[in-house]
Amino acid sequence: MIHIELAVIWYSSLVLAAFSVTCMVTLVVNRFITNKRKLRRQTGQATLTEYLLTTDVEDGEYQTLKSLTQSSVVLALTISEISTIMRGPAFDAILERLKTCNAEMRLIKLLDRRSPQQRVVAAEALAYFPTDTVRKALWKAYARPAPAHQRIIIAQALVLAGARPELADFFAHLDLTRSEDLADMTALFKTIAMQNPEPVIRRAKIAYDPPEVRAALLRTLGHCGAIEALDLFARDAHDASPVIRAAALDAIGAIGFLPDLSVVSDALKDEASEVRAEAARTIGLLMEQSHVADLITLTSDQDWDVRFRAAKSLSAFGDVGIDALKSIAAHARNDRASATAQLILDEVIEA
Amino acid sequence: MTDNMSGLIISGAQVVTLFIISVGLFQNVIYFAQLILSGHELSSNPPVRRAALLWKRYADLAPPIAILSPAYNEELTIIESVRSILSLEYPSFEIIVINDGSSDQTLERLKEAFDLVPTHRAFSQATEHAPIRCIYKSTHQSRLIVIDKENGGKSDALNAGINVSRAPIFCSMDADSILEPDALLRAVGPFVDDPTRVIAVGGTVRLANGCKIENGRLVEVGIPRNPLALLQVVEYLRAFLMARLAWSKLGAITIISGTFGLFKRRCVLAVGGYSKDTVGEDMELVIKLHRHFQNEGKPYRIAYVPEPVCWTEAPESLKVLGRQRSRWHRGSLETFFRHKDMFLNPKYGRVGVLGFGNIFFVDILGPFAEVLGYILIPLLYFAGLLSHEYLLAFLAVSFTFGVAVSVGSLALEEIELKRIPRTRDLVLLTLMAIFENFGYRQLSNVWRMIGTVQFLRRKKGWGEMTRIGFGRSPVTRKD
Repeated sequence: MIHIELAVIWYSSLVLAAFSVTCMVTLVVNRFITNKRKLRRQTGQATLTEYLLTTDVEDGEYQTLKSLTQSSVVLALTISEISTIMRGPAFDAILERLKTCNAEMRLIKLLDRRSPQQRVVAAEALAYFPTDTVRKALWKAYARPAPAHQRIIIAQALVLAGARPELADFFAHLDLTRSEDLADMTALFKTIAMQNPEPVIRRAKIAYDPPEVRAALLRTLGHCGAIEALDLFARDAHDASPVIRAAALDAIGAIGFLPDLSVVSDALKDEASEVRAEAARTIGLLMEQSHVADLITLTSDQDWDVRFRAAKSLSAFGDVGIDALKSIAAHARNDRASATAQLILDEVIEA
Repeated sequence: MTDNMSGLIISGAQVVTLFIISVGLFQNVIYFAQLILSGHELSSNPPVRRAALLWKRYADLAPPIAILSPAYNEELTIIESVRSILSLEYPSFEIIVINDGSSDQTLERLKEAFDLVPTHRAFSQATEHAPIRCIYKSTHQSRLIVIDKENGGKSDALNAGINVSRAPIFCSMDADSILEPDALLRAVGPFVDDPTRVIAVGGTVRLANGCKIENGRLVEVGIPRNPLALLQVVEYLRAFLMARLAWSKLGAITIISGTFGLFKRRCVLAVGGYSKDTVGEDMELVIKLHRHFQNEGKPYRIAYVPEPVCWTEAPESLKVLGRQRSRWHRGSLETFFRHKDMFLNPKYGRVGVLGFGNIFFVDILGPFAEVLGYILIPLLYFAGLLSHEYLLAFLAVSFTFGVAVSVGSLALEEIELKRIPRTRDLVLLTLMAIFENFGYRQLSNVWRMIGTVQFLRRKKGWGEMTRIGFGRSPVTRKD
């Protein structure tokens, strides 16, 4: 009986080894073909880029462009590449030339391909064709099943192509509980807010999303300078979730202005250390001298981050803050406070 | 009586052989499970291809990072290495090179190249280390800090770097290694995506032998000409792409390579920094972190990201490679026995059961059983004590399954990452993946056995390491 089992081990190992070697040989052959294709694509892209950048519109250009843009992938990659080196009228003129060889429709067709990479490349290029047909095609591509980061690239292309959706339209196809996608979502919020912060403000106001998403909305608004969201920041600085309170304070700090400072004063005494730390940093950014005493108190906080940010904010107040730091470094009874003050002083002196 | 005696001898031979085959089979089951898991992970979370997308994704959210680069007699590679780090694409980072009492011109070369001047920098003595002689800053590279300290070993130097650093995350790397420009952006991903739980992230280490390096930047990926280094390329692929990714997916990763890893500073300080009395300080730190967080009952995650790549130089002589592998194995054994109470202890969850179980079966029992098998099984077979099925089953667990695993991991790299650009290199590596099982694998096991003997004799220290430098002639250093 044992002999059969031992033989099974031997034969199964042979089958597995043969299978893996066969797979590898197939992959090597595939690689050989792909490398050839890649080389052709790179050459095509380089030729097209050079032609568009160095040649003026000429007679018979249609035929030349038609032959150079035979591959839709080359066309999409070339548009994306040129967009990284030029914008404005010169770039628009290149797009106009490409439109003569039906670029828009060909990129829309590329958007329907099965390959996710090709869809992404097509979406990025289509962002520069702000027409209803393009937006419709991008919406259709956005609704198709795809990993979140690819979907978000399509969503960004949609916004750049002139779509003005509500965030709910995008959120319908995203899993907001997946923390891995939050960074991508933040990039999308930023793209939207840079065009028009209103949809982001409206979404943040309804306070319906998970705390991490709400915090990302607030931070994005702050860092995009959405001054019309100040009331929202003031409201959310009192939210039940410390993640949201900290994000609201970060946004206030990024804006650099708040009419009612009691919001930040309250946050300096918050039970959550991340909120206290953010409030200390915000005070420094707001340059609010009436809170110097509060900052001095915070230099002996239990949490290192709070102490560091309070001392750092003090250093932003010029002579008043530096004198306070020197006094803490020399006379504070609390070792942590004096060490933190000394750390910041060294940094200031070094600078 | 004689029949009984010979029956007993045959039964004994069969039992020993079955034990050896079972250990080998168990090892191979683990390898195949790793291959399947890492394949699933890579296909469900494929790495972002373009650095521009990463920048778009993480630039606004990325926390500051301090890159700690301990250097001991690294005069040949230190300048290229620092230049490579300075050219990294990351919004906020500082580089702390720790000259660990080098006896060569490491510090002088740094002073000359980066115009270093002494500076005062306050820091708290949160972990123990040998005295710092001086801290330098560069007059034209504001991100660069150089610590000159008395020799205390790699862990000691890293501890000094942790103390002097101010960023919430530090990245430990070897001074003779080169990070890809987008490595930090890629590696920081888990810290941004899961900021409350992620405490450490490991990246992939690949071999720079055969690659074209100019001014500290890798400009062309190639494969080594030296057959020994070529074999190690396959070995590194298997170790990182297959094993670490799978263990990370299972939440039981037990090592983040000292060559490239990111850690939350406060978490490392909470476990007392790097241990100085072991040669496996990288593994020891990860185990200490697991132990600390499991004991405290806090949720945490130690992640591995396959795409941030750090390129390092591999030994090209049998003597140096043997010493390196024996030392690695010694480090692994030191850590295992220091934390032996975690072995199969359900209190430590998956790390105790799966992670430590893997160390025991694959790293400790595996080489021992395999070397015993190479000696014993052919002898018993030719003595007529075993049938040919035993011999074939042993050959299966020691050679043919190995071919399947090695070629499988190479196939995984080709399907998901495609980092080997030329077709002929791929062909050569495929051949190496097959042939490494006939000679090199056996040699590795012998080095591990030597490591075990050194551990039992309580040998300390790192031994000599010959560095060629990227594109230079070899020199020998003593760590």
